[in-house]
Amino acid sequence: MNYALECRALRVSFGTKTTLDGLDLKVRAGEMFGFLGPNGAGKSTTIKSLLGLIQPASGEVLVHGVSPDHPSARRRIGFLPEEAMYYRFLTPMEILRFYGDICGVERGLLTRRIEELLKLVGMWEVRNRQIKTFSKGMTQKISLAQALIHDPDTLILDEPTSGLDPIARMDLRSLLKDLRHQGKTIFFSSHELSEAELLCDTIAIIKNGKIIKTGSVESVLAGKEHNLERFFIDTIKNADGGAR
Amino acid sequence: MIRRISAVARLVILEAFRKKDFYVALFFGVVLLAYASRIEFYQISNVHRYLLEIGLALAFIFSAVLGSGLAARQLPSELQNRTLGVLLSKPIGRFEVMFGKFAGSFAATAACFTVFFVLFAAFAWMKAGGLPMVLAVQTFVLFLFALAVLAALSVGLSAYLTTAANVLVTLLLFFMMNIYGGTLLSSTAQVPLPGRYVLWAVYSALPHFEFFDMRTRFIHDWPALSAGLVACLAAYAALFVMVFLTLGWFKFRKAGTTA
Repeated sequence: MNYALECRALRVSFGTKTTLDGLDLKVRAGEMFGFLGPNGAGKSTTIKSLLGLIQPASGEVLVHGVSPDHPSARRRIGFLPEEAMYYRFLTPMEILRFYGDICGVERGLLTRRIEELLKLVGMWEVRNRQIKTFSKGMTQKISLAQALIHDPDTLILDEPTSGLDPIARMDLRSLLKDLRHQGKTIFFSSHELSEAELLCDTIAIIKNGKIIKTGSVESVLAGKEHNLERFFIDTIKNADGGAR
Repeated sequence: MIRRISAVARLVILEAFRKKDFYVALFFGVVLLAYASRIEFYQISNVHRYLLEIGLALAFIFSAVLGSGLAARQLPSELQNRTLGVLLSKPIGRFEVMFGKFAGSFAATAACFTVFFVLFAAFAWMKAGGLPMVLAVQTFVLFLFALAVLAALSVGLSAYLTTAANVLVTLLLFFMMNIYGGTLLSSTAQVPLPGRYVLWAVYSALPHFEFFDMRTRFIHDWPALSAGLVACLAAYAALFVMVFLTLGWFKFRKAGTTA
């Protein structure tokens, strides 16, 4: 099986606190994967591990079969952080050119791609304004554009709809579907369970640093009358009961 | 690799000029230089030499303060503003980030120093009626070496210290070495063995910023340095740049980020 993202028995600790406790996760290439869990469950730590931003105490992380410590692995990932923070003194054009240079996008292609992406996220008109003048939603759109600048195979999105208005959310959903049809792997963490239900092929629910449920949305909800939101709440409560 | 490093360096240069640090330093530099040029030292022969020394010292001080401040805040501000996570999620190595930060800080500071130096040279030309060109070029180039070491020291230390502590330590070391660096070696001779070896090791490990200070030679129009000696000083500066960046990278390579 060809996996885009893989965590094997991943353990991450900060001091005495274990954030990820032997986490196993497999994301197939080309699928849209929803990563769900309550606050503090270990979603962001998992994402940071997938990006090579933190070193696990034990276990293994693979991105398209390669450790994320290797730049070649990160070349295949586009990352959209939960809270989009960029160099406030730069304009959208400069931001995208900067990240394009870092990713080694060929210069002629980069110029075309910047225009294409800024038009796609509806920021072409403000391309020469410094980011410090932007709202949260506008910055989030730039964030999406930077994640796509090098045309990555896999997108890792941390709460991608956070800060977006309903129309922008709808646009994002439609864009993610398009990207999925282009064969991109999309891994996103979200609190918006209805969104995950609407978009994802597969979901995983994480609690206390462990995956407590994973599978396709249909198989997870099979034989149950309620929706993903109800299922999620029940699963978390059951896991709490089990823990007690 | 060059493209990634230059992208990071360009970012630092843009920040330096858009955040207006340089213009503030330039304003104060010009005001102080103009003020110094109006001071009258009665009954002192060769008064222009004092004025030249003041002018050159101002150019050095402003550039050093600007350079250490800019370099010291690079990594901490990436962490604080949460931009480091996105940057490191791209195919760039942590040493490349550090080297880019160093190169950008150095280039921005060197540009500022060039402006200060040109102003100073114009001022010196007016006061002294001419300039020893070879010495002027050597003074300029050697101080650029000092700025490179200073920028590397600040970037390297920024992996260990807060910005304020970093600027304090860097500037303290810079000014102390410029003032006392030349006398340190003779002081170690008075210490008995084996303490002398320890002091000698400390002396060797410190970056000798005073080696790059040509002010006295320039002002008194002494003979210029040989090309070989300038090359040795360039190698000395390059060595310290690599040592400081490597020490910084050693800590930074494992540092967590706030994505």
